Amino acid sequence: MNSTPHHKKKPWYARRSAGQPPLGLIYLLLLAPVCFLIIFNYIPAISAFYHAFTQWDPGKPAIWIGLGNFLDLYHDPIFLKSLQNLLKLGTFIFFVNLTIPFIVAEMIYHLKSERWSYAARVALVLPMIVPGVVIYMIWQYIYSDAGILTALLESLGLYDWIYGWLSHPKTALMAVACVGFPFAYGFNVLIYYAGLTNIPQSILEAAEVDGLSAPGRIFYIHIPLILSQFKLLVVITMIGIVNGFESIYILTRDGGPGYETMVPGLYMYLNGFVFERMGYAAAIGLLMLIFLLTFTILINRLVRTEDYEPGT
Amino acid sequence: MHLLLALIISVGFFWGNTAEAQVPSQDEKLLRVDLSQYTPGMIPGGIGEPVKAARTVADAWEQLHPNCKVKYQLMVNTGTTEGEWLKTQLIGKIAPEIVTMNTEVAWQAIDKDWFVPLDEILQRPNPYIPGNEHWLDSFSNKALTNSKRAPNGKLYCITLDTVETGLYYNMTLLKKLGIDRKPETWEEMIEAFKIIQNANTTPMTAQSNIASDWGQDIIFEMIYHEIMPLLDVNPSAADVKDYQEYFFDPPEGGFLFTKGFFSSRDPRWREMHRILKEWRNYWAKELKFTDPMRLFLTGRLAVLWDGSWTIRRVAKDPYINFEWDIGYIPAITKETSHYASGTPATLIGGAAMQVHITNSAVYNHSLEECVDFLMYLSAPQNIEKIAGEALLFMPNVNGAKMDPRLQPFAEIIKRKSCAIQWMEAMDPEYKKVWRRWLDYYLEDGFGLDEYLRILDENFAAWVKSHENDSAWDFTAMEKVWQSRQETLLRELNPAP
Repeated sequence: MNSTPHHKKKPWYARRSAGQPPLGLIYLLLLAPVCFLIIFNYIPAISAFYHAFTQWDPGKPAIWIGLGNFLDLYHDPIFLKSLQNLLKLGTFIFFVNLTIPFIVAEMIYHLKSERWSYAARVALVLPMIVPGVVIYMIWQYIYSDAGILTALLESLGLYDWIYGWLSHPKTALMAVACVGFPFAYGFNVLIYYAGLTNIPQSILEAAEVDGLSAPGRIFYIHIPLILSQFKLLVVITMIGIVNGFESIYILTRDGGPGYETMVPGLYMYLNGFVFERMGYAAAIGLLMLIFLLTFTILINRLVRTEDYEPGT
Repeated sequence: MHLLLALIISVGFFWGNTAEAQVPSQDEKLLRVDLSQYTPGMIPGGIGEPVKAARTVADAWEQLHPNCKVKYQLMVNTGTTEGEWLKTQLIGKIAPEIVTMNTEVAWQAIDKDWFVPLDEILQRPNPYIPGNEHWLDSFSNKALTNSKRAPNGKLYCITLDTVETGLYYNMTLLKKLGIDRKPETWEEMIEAFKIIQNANTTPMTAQSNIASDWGQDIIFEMIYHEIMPLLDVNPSAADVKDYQEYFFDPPEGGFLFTKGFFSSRDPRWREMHRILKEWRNYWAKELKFTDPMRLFLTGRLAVLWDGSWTIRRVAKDPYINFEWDIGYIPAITKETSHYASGTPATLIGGAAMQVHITNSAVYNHSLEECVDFLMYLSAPQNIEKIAGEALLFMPNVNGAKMDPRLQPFAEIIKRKSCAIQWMEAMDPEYKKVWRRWLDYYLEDGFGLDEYLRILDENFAAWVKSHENDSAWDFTAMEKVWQSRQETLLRELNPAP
């Protein structure tokens, strides 16, 4: 009955599964990234949450003002204008980001030749290696007086059609929205394509036997069975729309002309780092976070998806 | 495999930290220095060899101070002039000890002790200039140097050199269109622009939408010139008069606004914006993001309005196949506006490299070393070497020679500064609103009345934001105003 040293239980940190390093080492290695995560992500987030209720000029102590920032935001015409722009821009981006990649994915999926299908996927992924900043700067050049759009219009003798696309109040937001044309984003296409290739062959064959047309297959089989991919893209796109301002920061710099291209993300940045109203900026950030959380929860509730299992 | 990876990361982490910790040692002082375009490794204007003279100068200084190291470190510029990156570094007390930027940015932070006031330091002798008793006296344009005082009266920067703008003319293109000389009046310029535009060529533009900013400065002066002595209710200090004869500092601008000037009630204000809008019709269509240099160098732009720094780009470009010349904005005459006095346009440039010492020098106990290094840097033989190599700006130190190619700008900078530059010192929140709506107006976003109405609101909010600010005490200005009230009010309400 006496336990022998041979059967003595190892301490938890020395335990290991076959082929794995000891548990202690795994936790030790995890410690550094977790610390960085806490220091660089969670502490600033908690700090921002607190400072959203303060008047904080960086370099000076923060003063607690309760809901003051939020009340100011409610009456701030620039913030309201930025929401209006976000709605316009977001609707457009939402539509093109979700539909065009789906159409492209369907086209690739329907290619008979595996070689061409592979080539098409590679062609769509290749532009993803170009940093976004570079793409925005190229578009800025395209829109300039020295750019190819102007050169094209000049060569056609259409001098009256030449605009200050990013500077003119009537065209600036549209010009920002059109960046990325033709909107066949490789990442989105691949997500859709992965969903399409996961549809069991048996279902597609059954549909064919039942005489379902090609559009019918897309609407009654493809779309319902790639809803989880769709949901993922909806959430990612919405986060990109609400949080992202780098395109506007590069393209129009300050959300101009006037406030025609101002969005909440950029307004938050300007308040924080240019106007030195960090508390106000934190309040905008908090509102954006609340919106995104609510949206994600709603999408998860409204768009219910279940993995298809053959035989169920 | 996992263990190997962990080992590599750990060794890299500790090695990196150890390497960093080696410089500087306990008794060694490290000065991190940003010299903007003069920072070694920079290629100003994107042409020519990288500059290195500042490194040579620093090496020579290090020889004299073996316990000190100068590490050049370029400030991160994020696209706006407010120095967002620098603010984060200053809050964290890790900014470079020496930074170069427009000093108006520092003025926004005078209550935060982010920058070291240099007044007392500038009274010391510069040991690297024989016979110098006060460092301040070694700067050739002393009035300009003094004009960089913050609203609290303190000087936070030294002005190593000066800059001015000018019009770069493509003379070959002008002659081809029958314009054989540079325009001498505003009206001649507009006529020339009409001819150029009819030939489907862009007549004029400037970098980064700055034409609207500079244009406003230039026109303001020519429209208000005749009443400037009356309007200047808070005369410039004697030591800056050579540079800023009539100058409106922010409180003065705010005070005059409360009296109706610089508002929709002011006919000159209205006229200034009318002329600016008319002028804008001859600039590039995509004003903000067109690369005028590309247009100019490829012969698609007749006149480039740019700073002296462009000399380097134009002079070093081996592919320029046209004749070019430099001029300045011609005077507006009565033919264009009855408010115009016909006086020459004022300068809008001024200080170029404005060098500051940050709070890092205080925290790292290297203030004296920073001062000594800047004194060495500003010795004529050293700044001449640095400025001469870069070919961007004109040295502002007695005895330092200038590259002769900058001579046209040296002539322009002899003029007085424009009075409206108080906009530069305006709180960024309101300044940005002003600039933003100015561009909107110039881009046909709305008409003059709506623009002036919005501007009135912005100025009113700006003045209100300073109502408890002791620097904005209007009492003295009010007294002066009372004595001139009758005449000035007539200017606001001219007889029909």
